[in-house]
Amino acid sequence: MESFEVTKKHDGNVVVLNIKGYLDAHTAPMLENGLQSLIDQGQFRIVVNFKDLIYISSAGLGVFMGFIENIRNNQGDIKLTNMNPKIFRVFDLLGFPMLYDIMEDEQQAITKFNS
Amino acid sequence: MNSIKNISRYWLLPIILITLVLVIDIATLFNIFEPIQEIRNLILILAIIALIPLMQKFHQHIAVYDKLKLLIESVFSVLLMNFLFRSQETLYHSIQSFLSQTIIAWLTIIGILLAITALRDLIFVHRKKSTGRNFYLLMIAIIIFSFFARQDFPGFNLNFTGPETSISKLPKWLSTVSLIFSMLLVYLIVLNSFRVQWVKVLNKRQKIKTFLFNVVIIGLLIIGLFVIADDKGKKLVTLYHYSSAIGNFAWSCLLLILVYLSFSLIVVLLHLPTAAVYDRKVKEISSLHQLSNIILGVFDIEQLSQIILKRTIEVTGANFGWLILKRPNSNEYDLVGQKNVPAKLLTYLSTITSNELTDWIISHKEALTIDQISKHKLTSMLDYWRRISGSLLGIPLVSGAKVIGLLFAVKNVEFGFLPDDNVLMTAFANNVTIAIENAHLVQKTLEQEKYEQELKIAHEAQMKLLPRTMPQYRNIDIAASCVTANEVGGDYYDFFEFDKNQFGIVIGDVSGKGPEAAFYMAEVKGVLESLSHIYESPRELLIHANKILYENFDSKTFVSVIYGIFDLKQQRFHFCRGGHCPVLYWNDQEKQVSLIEPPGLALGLDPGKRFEKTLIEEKIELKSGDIFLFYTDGVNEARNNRQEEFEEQRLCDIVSENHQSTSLEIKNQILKHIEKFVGNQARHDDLTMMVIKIREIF
Repeated sequence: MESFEVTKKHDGNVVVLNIKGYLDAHTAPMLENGLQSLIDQGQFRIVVNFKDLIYISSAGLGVFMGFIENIRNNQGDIKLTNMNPKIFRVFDLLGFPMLYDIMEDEQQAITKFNS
Repeated sequence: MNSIKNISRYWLLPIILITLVLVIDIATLFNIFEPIQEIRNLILILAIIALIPLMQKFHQHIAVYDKLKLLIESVFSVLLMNFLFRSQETLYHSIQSFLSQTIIAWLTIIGILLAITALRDLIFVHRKKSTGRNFYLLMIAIIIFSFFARQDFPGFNLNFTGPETSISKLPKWLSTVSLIFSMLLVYLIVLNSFRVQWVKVLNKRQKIKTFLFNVVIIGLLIIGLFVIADDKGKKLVTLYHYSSAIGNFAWSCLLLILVYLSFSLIVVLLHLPTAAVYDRKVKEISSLHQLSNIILGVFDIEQLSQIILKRTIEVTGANFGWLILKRPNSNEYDLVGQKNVPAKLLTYLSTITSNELTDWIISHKEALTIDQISKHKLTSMLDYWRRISGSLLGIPLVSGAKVIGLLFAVKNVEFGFLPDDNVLMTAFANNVTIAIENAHLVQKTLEQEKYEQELKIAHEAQMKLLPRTMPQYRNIDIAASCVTANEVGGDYYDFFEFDKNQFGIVIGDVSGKGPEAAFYMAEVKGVLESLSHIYESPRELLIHANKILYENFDSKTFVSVIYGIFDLKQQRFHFCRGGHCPVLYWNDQEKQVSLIEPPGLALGLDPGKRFEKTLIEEKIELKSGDIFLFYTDGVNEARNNRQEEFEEQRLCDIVSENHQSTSLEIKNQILKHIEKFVGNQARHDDLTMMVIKIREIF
């Protein structure tokens, strides 16, 4: 079984989720739970750091789609950062850069939230 | 047959020996000859030894208490017999005294052997390695003693058979040896008397009875062994008249029994006050054991928790209790069952299952008894607890290194739980843990079965959605296939035959997996098929399809597609890419392979505007020998055991190398390469490919 892990840290009023391992149809619920609990707490400024992500499937991409509308309606956003080229390629093929802020670096995303 | 043979073999030796003694005695009685006493005693001792294995045949499989009864009954009969028939005459005085003494002597021997056998079984209860050795050493000592301790051998005499020979006549070393031997005998008797483990097994009634019997028998033994004597000071007078060896044997065995019963009397006495508690525990353990058997057969968690709580309350005498269990794959605990919990506490428990109390037990992984709820630091912070006076027992359900749940029992009195309750419930908790894990496992298996069933349905659905035949066009060579993964991956392809010069192709990949993906796939197929008859332009078609699918899909589902039309009359292929993998195009004129990737979003992501703005239609002029490869990400993302992906470059290479082959051959080449690349790794996505080759007829 391929593993997946979500860790959370706070940076001011922005929450950074570090995701690690394989994000597919089996592990997607873990990220869903993580995002859902942030929304339940009223936390809508979210950065997802892809630095340690090895693989993402379409179901993994779907997780972000599931929450983005609600988050943006609450003046928040999900910004995606630190993708390796292979992961970025998956996002790019589907046209995700049109829909999401995909950034080089976590700090950059936090700064953008705060500006 | 064998057993009869065995028994007759056992009987044979004692009968021969006893007959021999009888013959000697009768001969003496009629003054035929004067026997040597030592030889007669030796034969008698041998006869006793020969009888021992015979005695073992009796009462081997009876309960401990019955063994004790047998011991007491045998000793009682022996003593009674020797009290009632106390012969004053010597053995050979008359035929009458000879007969009565002989009969009494042998009945006594049999009684004593029975008693000793019963005693041995009692000593052997819960035996250790040394137990058997100590007992048999004692028996050997008794036999040696029986043979040597005589009037004329006073060192072993222990001063009870009557001082008839003057001690001064014997050498001094002999009396030292005798003294040491006597001490050894006493030591062995005491050593064996410590083996009274069987007392623990008796219930309260039996302990009281044992106590009373022991008092009576000990009294009788003291009288028999030390008080009643003839005018010369001899005890067990009849036996000593018959033979000093027999007398000594009986006397020393009865002494052993006296000491042993005295020890057990003390132990029984010590156990009497706790007998009732002990009985209760035994009952509890057996009822918990029964319960454990029951709960192992219950797989419904709710039902299981009710049984567990009911029994916990019964056994500990608690007023109420509750059970919380860890959610699988999570660190959170849920209240799964309660019994008689007051409403106020219940509201608290069902909302907050994690607090200092539970955290303490979870982190310590051990049972916790709180004697005064209102004062204990783990409970007193909660208003509810501070106001009640009572005691609490918290038991963790530990599986390996994890605490899978907690069992609580509360009594409305302080100091309500016995220290044992803690131990008892911990033992019970082990079985509860196994039962709960079993239940989880069964549930998981059922879910797995359901899941596999769903998988099968999804797979069948997917197969039905794929076209069964390839369109037949004069100038076109088409091959397509979808090799499904274990789980349905949501891949899809289709053809639309418009007329003899025009046909459409579509390849798509619905996000997600399993039955849900198959369901959305059917929806995509339906939408595209109907729109294909309305919109001629792929771009128009996809813009409308996106609108419909965006409305109908749930927010996290989307589908990547390529939709294109081969127009053989105008010799062109025009297509749009909605977020799908690029089209691999072999340009036969330039002998060059390229990946064509016009911009476009996957369908279902955007309501419309951005989709429309992004989507661009691409046109390619068809020439003889051109090859188009459409595929899904299962192909380029196929992974080997080093987690490397197959990647587009390999696809390009295979197509260039095989550009003269047919579509089918190219497709099979690619599959073969992927298979080789992946090796024995499990495939995690569908492999879908469509190869279209333009023949040379233009």
